[in-house]
Parts: sequence; structure tokens; C-alpha cells
Amino acid sequence: MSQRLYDMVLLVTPEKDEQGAAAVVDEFRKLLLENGAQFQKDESMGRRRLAFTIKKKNEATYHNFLFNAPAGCVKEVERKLGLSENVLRYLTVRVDEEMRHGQKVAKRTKPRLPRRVEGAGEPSAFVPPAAPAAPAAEPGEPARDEK
Amino acid sequence: MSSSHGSSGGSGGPARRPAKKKFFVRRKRVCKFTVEKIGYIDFKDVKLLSQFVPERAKILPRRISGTSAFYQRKLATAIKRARYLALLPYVSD
Repeated sequence: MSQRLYDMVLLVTPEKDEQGAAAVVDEFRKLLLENGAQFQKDESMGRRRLAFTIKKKNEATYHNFLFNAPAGCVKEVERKLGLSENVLRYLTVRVDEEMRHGQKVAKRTKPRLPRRVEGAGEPSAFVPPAAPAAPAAEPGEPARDEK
Repeated sequence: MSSSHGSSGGSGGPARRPAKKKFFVRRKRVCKFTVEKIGYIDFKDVKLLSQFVPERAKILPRRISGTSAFYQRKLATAIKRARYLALLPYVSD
């Protein structure tokens, strides 16, 4: 029915080599397809060092899916992901609304540039430009008087 | 400080406040996301997020980074998601 856009990342255990990891990912890719997912992006993020240890592992193979799917799809796939021993961790985020809203805001807002950049140096620096401006105004004033 | 009541205290009061302001160096701070029109902050973009995570692995406050309130909220969630996936550390020493 209603399709939502999901962003899913899974961490495959480092015990699997490149092919083994690909097989694990493929398993879930099939599962997603069975549950009615349509992929927008399906890419490996490669083997990375983890920022901290998970289940005594320091590395993992990351894989990213970006897909449209009906509401119930993710629930089933996440259940299977949780059961799998080859998946260290996974995260699924629904991103359609966030993206839409973010782009709307980005279009609408303008950057507020700093009014004054420095505190101490600026006042003295501002005096010289003011001095030439004053004489320039003087010839202007008599011209108005003549008219 | 409180002992001097006369001319030094009187002149010190008004003089001190501008002096403080003068010594306070304002850095140029602009919201990166507003400028670059990044609508959605991707939690997988470690390169981008790590700019807002200094050494101690804390989220850089917006009073320092200059990020707008809207994007600071988005940034915080993105960093937290990245942390869960071990892309960024929770703590570092």
C-alpha cells in the first residue's frame, strides 16, 4: 500500500570473507525483495574498522540498502536480521519524511552571515574608509543647494 | 576589586565591560548546512559528521560550530545513529 523509503545498514561479521559477506547480504536482499522492497541503492560500504568492539570484533563489512517498501516489510526483515548470527548489528531508518522536510527547509532558509567578524581590530580599521566618504558627501550637499 | 570606591572604581566599571568585549575574539561562524544547502544529513557520511565530533567524541555544541538550531538537531540524531553503527565512537580517550 503505502510505500515508505527506508535506509538500512547492516554489519556483517568479519569472520566471513568477501564472498561469505556477499552471500549473507544476498540472503537479506532476497528477503527484502520477497517482502516487496524496491531498491534505490544497494551498495557495499566495504570492510571498516569499528569505532569500538562489538561482540569482541574490531572489524565488519558494511552494507547499505536504500529501498521503498510497504510498512510491514521492515518488521519481518529485522526479525530475521536479529536471528542471524552473521549480522553484528543493523539499523533501519525511515528517511522519506526527513528528506522531504530537510530539502524544504534547505530551500527556504538563507545563511546568516556574521555581521562583525572581529571585535578588537575592526573599529580602527573602519575609520579610514569613513574619512574618504565624508569629503565625497560634501560636494554632494552644495549641488543640492544649487538646485 | 570591591575595596576601591573612588575614581579608579568608577572608571573601572564602565571601562571593564568594553575591554572584555574587545578581548573576546569572535570567530567567523556560519552554519555549514545552510550554506551548502544540505537538506538531509546522512548518518553514513562519516567524513561530514566527524567534523562535528572533536577528540573527546562529544557532539560539538552549536555555540562553537555556528550550526543553526534546526541542523544541530538533525546533526545530533545523525551522529547518534552513526555511533550505533560503530562508525563514530561513543567515547574516546
